[in-house]
Amino acid sequence: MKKHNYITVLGRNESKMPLAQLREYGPIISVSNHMHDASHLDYVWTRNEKDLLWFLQQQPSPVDCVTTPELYKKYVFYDQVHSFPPISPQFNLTLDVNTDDQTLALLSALGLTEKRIILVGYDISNPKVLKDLRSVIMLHPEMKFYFLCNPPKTKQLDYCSNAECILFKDMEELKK
Amino acid sequence: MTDLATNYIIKVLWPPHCQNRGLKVLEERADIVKEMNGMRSKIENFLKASCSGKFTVSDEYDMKGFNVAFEQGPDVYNFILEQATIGYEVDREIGRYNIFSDKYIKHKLLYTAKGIVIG
Repeated sequence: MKKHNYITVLGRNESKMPLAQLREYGPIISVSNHMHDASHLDYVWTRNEKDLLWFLQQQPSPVDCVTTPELYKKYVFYDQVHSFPPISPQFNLTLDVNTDDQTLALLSALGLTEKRIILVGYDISNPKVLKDLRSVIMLHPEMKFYFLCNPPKTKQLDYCSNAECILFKDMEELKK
Repeated sequence: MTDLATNYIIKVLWPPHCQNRGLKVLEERADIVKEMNGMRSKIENFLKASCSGKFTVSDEYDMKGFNVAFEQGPDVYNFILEQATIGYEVDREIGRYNIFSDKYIKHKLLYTAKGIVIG
């Protein structure tokens, strides 16, 4: 499969921009709490079987789901169900059952793109989520990360040279 | 969605007496070759009648069997289920295309009371 240039990771918070508009920047991968906007989502990360089935039953086309190895084993014959990408041993990034869904959606996005990742509605209020986000950014220096927010800009990612905080109003710049 | 036509690969085993035959033996045993070709045709005809998505029957020589690639999961599932009815046996391994690694990843097939899953 051809990798995308841009991919948007939709976090737990609401997007300040309509998803239809956001989709102009590339496909969207989301955590599973944006069910009302399923028609605008290209991929969903979910570890919940009920949510998985809900996304698979969407009409006119089911949403591609990335899920846990356990659910994948059960739903392997569903064309839209994908297994989590193999993760090489990485320092400072511990993945377990307590790993946040946003982090796992971000890691899935890394397997689908080769250039840039846009983070929208990404909740970094949890210190573990922020730490994992920093680790992922630093472990992928070839990738550019854009953290979208409203003013004021967050300074949490300032020391990551391949990450940039961008305001929604300036998002058009990313199209250049 | 993946843009690849084949998402699943499964191997159909030759009948036991046709397996593990070297090319030299096959040159001398036209009856076995005929049986192998006949089996391949039978499977291809069955697939034409039963599959709703695309499929490809490999014509590469293999001592164990031949590969069939499928586009759609329900077609593979049905193909595995119909083994006894149509008279063939599939290998206990399936290759599934992984969109992240861009490779086919092999999994063991498990037949359970609740259906066919992978190990």
